[in-house]
Amino acid sequence: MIQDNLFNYRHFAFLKWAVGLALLSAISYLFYQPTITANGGTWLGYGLGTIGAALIVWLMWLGVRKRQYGNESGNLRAWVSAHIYLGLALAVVGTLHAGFQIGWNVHSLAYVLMMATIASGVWGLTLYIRLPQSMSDVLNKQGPEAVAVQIANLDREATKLKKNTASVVERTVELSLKQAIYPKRFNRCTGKVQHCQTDKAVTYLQSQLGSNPELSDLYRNQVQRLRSVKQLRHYFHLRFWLELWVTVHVPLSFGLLAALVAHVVSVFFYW
Amino acid sequence: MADDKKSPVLLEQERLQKPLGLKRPLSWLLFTPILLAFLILPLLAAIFPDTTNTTPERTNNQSILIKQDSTPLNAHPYLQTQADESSRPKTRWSLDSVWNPGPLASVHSNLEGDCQACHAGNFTRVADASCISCHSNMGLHVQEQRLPDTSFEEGRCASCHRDHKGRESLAEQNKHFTGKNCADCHSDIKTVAPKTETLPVADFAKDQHPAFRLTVAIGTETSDLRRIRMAATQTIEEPNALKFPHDVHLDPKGIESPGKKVVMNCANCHEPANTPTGFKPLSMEAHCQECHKLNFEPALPDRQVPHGKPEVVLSTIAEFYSHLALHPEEKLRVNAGRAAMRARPGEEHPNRSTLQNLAGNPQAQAAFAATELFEKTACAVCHEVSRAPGTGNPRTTGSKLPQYKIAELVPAHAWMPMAKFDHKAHEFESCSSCHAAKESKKSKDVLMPAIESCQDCHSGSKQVANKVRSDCGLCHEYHLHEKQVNAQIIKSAHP
Repeated sequence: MIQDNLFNYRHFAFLKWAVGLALLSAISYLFYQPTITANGGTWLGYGLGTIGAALIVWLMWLGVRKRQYGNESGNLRAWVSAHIYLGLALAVVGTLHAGFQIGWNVHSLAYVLMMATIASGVWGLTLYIRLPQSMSDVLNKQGPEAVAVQIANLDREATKLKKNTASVVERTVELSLKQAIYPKRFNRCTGKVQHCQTDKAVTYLQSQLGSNPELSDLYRNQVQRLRSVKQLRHYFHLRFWLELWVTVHVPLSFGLLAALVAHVVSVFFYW
Repeated sequence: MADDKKSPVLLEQERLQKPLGLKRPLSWLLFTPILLAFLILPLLAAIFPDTTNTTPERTNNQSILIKQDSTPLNAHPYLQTQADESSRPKTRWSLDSVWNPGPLASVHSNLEGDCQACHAGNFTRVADASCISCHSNMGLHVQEQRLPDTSFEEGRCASCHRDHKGRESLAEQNKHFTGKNCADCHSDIKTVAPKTETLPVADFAKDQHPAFRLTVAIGTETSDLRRIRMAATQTIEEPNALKFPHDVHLDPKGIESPGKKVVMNCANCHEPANTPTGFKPLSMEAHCQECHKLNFEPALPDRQVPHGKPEVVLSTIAEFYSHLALHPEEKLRVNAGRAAMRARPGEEHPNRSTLQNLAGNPQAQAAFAATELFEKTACAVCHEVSRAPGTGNPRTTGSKLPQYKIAELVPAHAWMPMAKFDHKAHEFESCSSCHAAKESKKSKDVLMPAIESCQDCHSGSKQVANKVRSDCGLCHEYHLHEKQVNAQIIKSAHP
């Protein structure tokens, strides 16, 4: 890690801030002696609650900030780096604000949603550490468009090659050419496709090669098609997971925002 | 590449490049119901309550009575100024109970689902009025609240009594406040209350707590109680007209009784009971008369006068000797008894002359017996007896006999009425480890142990090996209840 990335941005500046915040909260919590029980209603509780609520609003502001392409207030990498580390520190601040209490009420709902949002963020983070590299490797540093174009070219070639072959071979190859990357939506989850027609064409052509050596061009074509389709399947499968965690993370954070507003208003409405 | 119609694979690839597009709908799907269920609906239900379904503000008629008839002197100011609210509408379907942060104390658990029983719902803190609507007989800490409510933890009921902390009682919770919170003011009490008689106290340990102040009677009225601080060199005395030497009664060799020598212990008289003092009230009949018999006719040792007013005693004696005068056969029997007691050759008898046969004026016989009883054999043993001039109540038969006055005793009362001391909790200790009764020669001695005696076993708020950690709340109450003070001063039985 030579250049600045999300983690070591400016020599881990935000990691230091986050650890500082978490330590400060923890030490205050340890030394503060609440008269009855530790909870959000003590001096420290109100303080941690204010910090936590401000953090949540600021962390969610990343969604706004990343769409403001002309905004110059810190670069986006700095924002994301801070988002990661301060988001993790929020788990400490929030837990200490709650004083390790949990129940069936709006306050605990907000806490659970907060922890779930943070957990989904950690999950996303683990995906972000591994997947972009894997995705790049899968396509041999090409873009998915280039691979798709390759398939289109292979298919044009196959259309010509299949013309002078037996009808069984032609039908098999025709089916193979119609084979989509993902015939069904849920195939993205696993990245695997059952009964792949290209796969079947390759197997069939291989079995026919002994008796019909002229099929070798078509066979090579289909092998290449299968490899490219599998590349795209794997690539979009990884890309799906990279999107899926955000699809969990963001709605959870909005649920948290609603619960947070309800928590703050109700606490002071019935002070 | 150049064809106008893109291949299906290219189209699918482009489609797969597009984002999932679920973030926005899913976000709304979570945001809206949560806001609705946990904020908007409860708020509406709380602000626009169900006016058709009202709940009585007070369910406890007793508390209304207390408020109207006998508001304690140091009652909360709210009680003296505010009118009674008769009813209040209820929140629809208890929608606001999703805001309940934790279980209420068990005594308040019936209020769960009725938040506005305590919370006004206008962004203000729980007011004392909510508590007072039931707890109307609560006394303040001092007769007059002197400190202005400036601090963050202001002097509201809810500053100390925090509910929603679980089913344990709020009284149990109070223990959290004793100790440092008391010392905050009491270690330098003069700056808070310049006129107070209370001495500064920081803790129970060592020299940080002044000597005890005992509530001692200075007269025979219940109002004649004064608080006197104990001093190391002298025992506090209470001007008690009863003659009772503890040392004689607790002599380990025993004390003479009509039968044989008896070794007495404390519990023979001080019987533990569930009373404010922790003991049954003492009475002549139950605790003394077995030995201190009130017989007046030497020949009839079981014939006793009642333990009561002098006129009742005198009438009993007068009537007894008149009865003998009218019934010669009974007089003969008494005389036979007297003769039998007299006939002991060689035996010295101090009262031989009194044991002459009864003859002549029964009034003179009764006067003689009364004088013996009051001045020598019975009353004067325990009481201060003085001759009263003139004749007695003309409507009683003893009015012509010599009249006597028995000095009044001070009413039994607790010497530390405000202290929480449980004798039962200390029953593994012997009485004498705290009370020096075996050395006490006078009933005037107030046999209360000095603070050092307590400190042998009780440390202060800091933990000390082999000592009981003792915060202020172990012995002291925060709220002063006028009623409670009075209740502990028990009216004594008739002397």
